[in-house]
Amino acid sequence: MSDIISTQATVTRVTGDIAVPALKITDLHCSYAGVEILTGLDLSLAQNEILCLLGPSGCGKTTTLKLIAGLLTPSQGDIEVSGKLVDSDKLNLAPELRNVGMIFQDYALFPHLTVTANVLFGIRKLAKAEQVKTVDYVLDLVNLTEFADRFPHQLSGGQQQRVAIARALASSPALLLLDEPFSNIDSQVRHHLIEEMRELLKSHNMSAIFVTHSKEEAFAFADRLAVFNQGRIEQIGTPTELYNQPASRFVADFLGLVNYVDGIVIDSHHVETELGLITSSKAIEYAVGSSLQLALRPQHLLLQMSDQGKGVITQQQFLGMNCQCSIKVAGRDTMLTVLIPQPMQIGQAVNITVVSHELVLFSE
Amino acid sequence: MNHKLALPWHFSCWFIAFALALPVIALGVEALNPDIAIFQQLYDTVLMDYTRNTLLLTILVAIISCVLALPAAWIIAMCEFPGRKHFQWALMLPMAMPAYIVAYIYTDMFDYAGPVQIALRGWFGWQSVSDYWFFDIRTIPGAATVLSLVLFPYLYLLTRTSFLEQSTSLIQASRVLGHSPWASFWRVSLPLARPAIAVGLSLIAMETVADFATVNYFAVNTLTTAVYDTWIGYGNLSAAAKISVMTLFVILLFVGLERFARRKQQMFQKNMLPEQEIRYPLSGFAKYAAMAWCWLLICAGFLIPFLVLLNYAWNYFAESWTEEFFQYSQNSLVLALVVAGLAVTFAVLLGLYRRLVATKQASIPARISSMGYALPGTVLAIGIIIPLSAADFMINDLTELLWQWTPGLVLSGTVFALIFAYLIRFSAIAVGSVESSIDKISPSLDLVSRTLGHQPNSMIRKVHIPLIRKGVLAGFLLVFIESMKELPTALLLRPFNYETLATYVYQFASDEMLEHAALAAIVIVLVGLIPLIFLNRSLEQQH
Repeated sequence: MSDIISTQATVTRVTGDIAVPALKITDLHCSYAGVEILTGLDLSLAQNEILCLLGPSGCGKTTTLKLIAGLLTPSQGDIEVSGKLVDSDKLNLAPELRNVGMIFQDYALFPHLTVTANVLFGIRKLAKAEQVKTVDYVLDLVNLTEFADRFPHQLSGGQQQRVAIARALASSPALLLLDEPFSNIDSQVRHHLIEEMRELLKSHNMSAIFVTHSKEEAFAFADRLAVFNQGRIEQIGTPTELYNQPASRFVADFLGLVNYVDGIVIDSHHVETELGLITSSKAIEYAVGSSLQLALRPQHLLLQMSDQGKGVITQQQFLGMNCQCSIKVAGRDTMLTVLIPQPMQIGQAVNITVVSHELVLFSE
Repeated sequence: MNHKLALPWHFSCWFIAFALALPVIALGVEALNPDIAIFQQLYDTVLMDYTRNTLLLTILVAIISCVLALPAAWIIAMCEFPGRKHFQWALMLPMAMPAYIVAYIYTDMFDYAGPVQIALRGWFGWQSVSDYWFFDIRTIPGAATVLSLVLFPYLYLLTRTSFLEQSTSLIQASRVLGHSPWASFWRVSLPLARPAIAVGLSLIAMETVADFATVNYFAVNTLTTAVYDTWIGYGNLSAAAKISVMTLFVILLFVGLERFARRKQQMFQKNMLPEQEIRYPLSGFAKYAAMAWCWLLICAGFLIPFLVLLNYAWNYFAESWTEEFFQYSQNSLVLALVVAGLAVTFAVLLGLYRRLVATKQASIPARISSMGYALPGTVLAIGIIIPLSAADFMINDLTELLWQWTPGLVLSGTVFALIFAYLIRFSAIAVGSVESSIDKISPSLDLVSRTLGHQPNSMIRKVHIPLIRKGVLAGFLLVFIESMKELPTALLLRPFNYETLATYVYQFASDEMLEHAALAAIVIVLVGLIPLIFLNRSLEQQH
């Protein structure tokens, strides 16, 4: 028992000064083949925090990850890992000297090495006894002890991923980088794996940065989200903050379905729209009389059957747990998307009411 | 789907396979011949030395090829430096150089009477051999060096491709896990390239064992020269067959090694995402060292010999530009065209047979027809002489009996023997080329054609043949080129008074008068350059 605890101490990073951020990026620029991929990125990650970089492909999130690992060279800007400067105007520390772990999209397991040898690859400088202990510990952690002598091609996708995790954890990095780690996993087991991995990282006090283009993965895995758009961060915050209070239409659209409705501010808590008067649970920051766009998530709209209703159900899609339907509202060009618990009749006229909540308003 | 084919098709496919396998069968049967007097005598005196020479030569060639090719493959695949793109294909140029021509030119250059030693004697004031040490090129290490200079591109090509196919994320993972670029090379890149290196080395080994001209020129006795001498010198077919079978065992060893290496290759290339290439930029000393290494290989393996040939041709133009030169060029050309045409015809026949008759046995004729490539030219020649001369005797006996007239050696003594031998040796190339383009045709096209009302024959004409035209053309060209260059088979099987370009050049080289056949040698080199252009184009498309 004491053995395991002492091994755990070598794997679990002793989190020193909690005030020192696990990662600090200042004004980072990067260009590849003459194209600016990152344009002045600032980012900070607290100890033990999991941050997700979310965005469409080609937005620079994987580039950011590779810059942190030292696999690419920035054209400008500073990077600090756990208080140690690794990139600046004068410095570009080699990847092998940065003490970061990385999990690649294809896992990058060495096909010519067994599971054990793959894990040993990063800790060859430890004492022999220490190596054995660490391998035993991390393989036990990811439940692969009985596969220790297999080669990567003899493992399933999920098992390969767990080897990659074990290998990265073995060298107890100051920071773990994950590049789309779930994209090659079957959607049926993905959710379970995300939960498991989050548990693992949290129980070992790992600071991690995780890249994905899937909002579901991001919501389930991250403490904080940074939404990327064309080489810069559009907004950063907790998943609920970003979902409920998006700072731009890009973020609002990227994180889920949105209905946009024109409206005019009546007073500090009310907006007049084509759907009627809508109440905000929080004071509106815009001046009375401003003409704005109101972003409404499908779940903020409620339907009631009514022959005099302004809306008509024109299409619906049964999703299992609920049903998504499109409503044609008289005088509106675009359909409204609404989630309802049970399917209704196509052609049914409905009344639409908006649940009172903290309204999200954009000035065009 | 199994398509019903006409019976003649089945029959002709199996007949081709049998005919192409005949020499190996004949060798086996003849080797069992109990007449072992000559063989016993050879065995007691020189045969063990020859075997040792063969193995020693092969090992030396393998080592030198590794030293030459591996650094070149790695810097071309993984580093960025001026001229990399040009070096990438230029490093394959030595493949076009026949080894015996390189051997001749370097012997001329480094001999006691050659320009290098004369210059050294002039500079240092040495008077005679006893005043200084200079390496002797006419030795096993000398032959190994010359062979390596023209064979290393096989290894270079395969290893470079293997380095390029390695997922960049593996190298990146190794870096992140605390390894420098150098350590990553030793612990990741090189182990992953091991199957490719093994395949390259076994190809080189097979070529080395098969080489006749270079070792004969250097008077290094190997198993191949033993086969030649036993037949030409002693006229003893059975002893030659026995030595041939011994040689075949050595070859089989390398074929087995190659198969074994390829088996592993599969797993090493699976599940990797294609990624952008990232190369280490070289600067300063490393940059110049990389360029110098590439230049060294290209100069030693191609440029210097080729320039010397051009110089010969210029100085001895009148002696080279002869009627024989045209006569023999024409011989080679006609021979190569006939062989290439027949080889692709057989390849198409066998390939479509395998495709349309979707049973396991149906691929056997194509496999058998591909075996000949592993036979060294001299061994193959012995294997051909055995059944053809037997057939000739039978024909002559028969005509004698019937009409009291004998036609002579109509099979073994004519160009027929040469064509037959070349077909056996080069059918593999045509079969490989045609088969790979047949395999690219989606099987659903067959189903669609049949459901749209086409009989197998009409489907072949309207769908398959148009789609495999490129593969057929490539196969034709490659067989053509190999037939133009082939030497040892031609030396043993050519009819009386018949010369090909290769035998013509070789005669002059062994008579120390290569200058007089320089034009013919240049033609052979230029023909050898053609496949490199194709190879380069297909590589450019990949990367």
